[in-house]
Amino acid sequence: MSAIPEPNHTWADLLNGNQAALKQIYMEYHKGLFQYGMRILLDEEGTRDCIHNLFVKIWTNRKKLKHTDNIRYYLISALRNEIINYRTRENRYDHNEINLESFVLDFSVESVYIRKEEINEQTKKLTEAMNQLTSRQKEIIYLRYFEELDYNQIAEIMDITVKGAYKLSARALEALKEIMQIDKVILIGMLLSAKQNYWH
Amino acid sequence: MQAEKYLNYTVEDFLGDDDFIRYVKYQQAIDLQFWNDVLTQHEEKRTDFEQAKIQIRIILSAEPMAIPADLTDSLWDDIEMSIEKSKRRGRIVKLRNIWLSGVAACLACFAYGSWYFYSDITVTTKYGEQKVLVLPDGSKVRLNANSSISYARAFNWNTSRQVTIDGEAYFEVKHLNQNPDDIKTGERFVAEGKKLRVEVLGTTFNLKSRPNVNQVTLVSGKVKVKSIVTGEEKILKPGEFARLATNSKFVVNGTATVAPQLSWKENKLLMAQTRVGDIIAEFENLYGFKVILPDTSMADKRIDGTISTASEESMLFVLKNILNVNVRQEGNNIYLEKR
Repeated sequence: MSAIPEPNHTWADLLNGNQAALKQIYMEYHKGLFQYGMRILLDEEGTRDCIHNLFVKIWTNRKKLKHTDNIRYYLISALRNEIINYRTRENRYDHNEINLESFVLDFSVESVYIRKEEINEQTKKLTEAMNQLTSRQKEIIYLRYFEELDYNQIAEIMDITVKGAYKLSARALEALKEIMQIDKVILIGMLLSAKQNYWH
Repeated sequence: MQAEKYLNYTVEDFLGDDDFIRYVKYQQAIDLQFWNDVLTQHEEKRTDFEQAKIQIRIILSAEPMAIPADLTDSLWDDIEMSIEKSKRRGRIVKLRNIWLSGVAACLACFAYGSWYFYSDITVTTKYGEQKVLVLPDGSKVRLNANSSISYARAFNWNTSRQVTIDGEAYFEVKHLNQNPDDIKTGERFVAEGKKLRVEVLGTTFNLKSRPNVNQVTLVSGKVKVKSIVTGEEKILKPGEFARLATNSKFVVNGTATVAPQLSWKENKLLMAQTRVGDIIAEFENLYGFKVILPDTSMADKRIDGTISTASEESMLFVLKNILNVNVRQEGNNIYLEKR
């Protein structure tokens, strides 16, 4: 997904019953949606089903849909609901506890984003600490930095309040402090950026 | 973007800044220029700036999930197919209105109900095929090839047990009668062919209603047969068989064994001085061909033995050898020609 603002006439075309517009939106977003779904479900078939249902529903309900300036936000939010429904259905048969607390986001210093000269003790420790974040924290980070959603949108999507987000971050901070002794500023910066944005 | 804004920026401020995130993520030349300018003006921010940058880099280092190679096309095909389906459904829904659909539903229920109560069940066998079925009263029927049986649905079976046969069938009728001096209508079982009617209480019998032969063979129990044309009635004992002669009168014969009349159930034809004409007729009955003989005298020949009727090929093969003829098939006609 690119950072270029979406031309929102595509959405308007879709609402007017233009199926080519639906395909255009699909083409632009399906891979990102697949990435996001897979990180929660870790199940190709399930993720495909959810995206399938999402697009079919958008088409059949297009007359009731509102205009949006941010298709990406709309799609991610809707896909998450699909995934919750899917999970609920699946769990009914398994009698498992409903578990949305899984989010795969594996950080690695060997990635292309990190230059060799930047790999030092601190980056390694930071990476290690970030890998130990909770699923919810990882999801916040994913939505913020990969999908470039703002914190209001993320709070909406994840159904969390400012207070809840603060608690989530604070608890993580306490835990992380014990795991490693790195600069407190870095940790605050990393984990409380969500909180800070709510207070803007 | 005002450079002064960054004067009091900390690491977390950089981390929360959309412009900063995009700069680290996409490395656009224009952003690079801008942030260079910011840093030359606020050299003291460089440490925080670099800290934030490495953190975003770590975040972006998260491994991508594998995307199946065919995802784009196959997933879209699925979506498109579902949309096409829903379009078709949508059109039907539009045509409907609640009042009309209510009336239609009532009519449908009524029609279905009438059809259900008054309709017949018909079971048919193809050429060379046999079927076994159980009737609503529990009686068993084996249907020979190229035959059919019709009967009313379960609704009427308490008051009359009646079936119609075209072709040949073997019956094992369930005995329902309690008191032989007081036979209720529902205890009678009636099987009707084209030209004769069989009335029983609980017996085993074979009914043959073919163009060339109308015959009832009794295996056990007691039956009353009636010629539909003349009204003539006969009571048969086990081992007897009644055949309607060409003058529509019954000819009743008793034999030591009824096996030849029942051997069709084992896909065999038992012959004891049996006319070739009758064998050919049976072949026509079972497989639907028209057999043309080289001369009529051949039909009057009599033969003994067993022929397998399991397939038309095996039956033709035996006939060919017994009669010493060549077989030539033209469409539905089979010509037996002298060698």
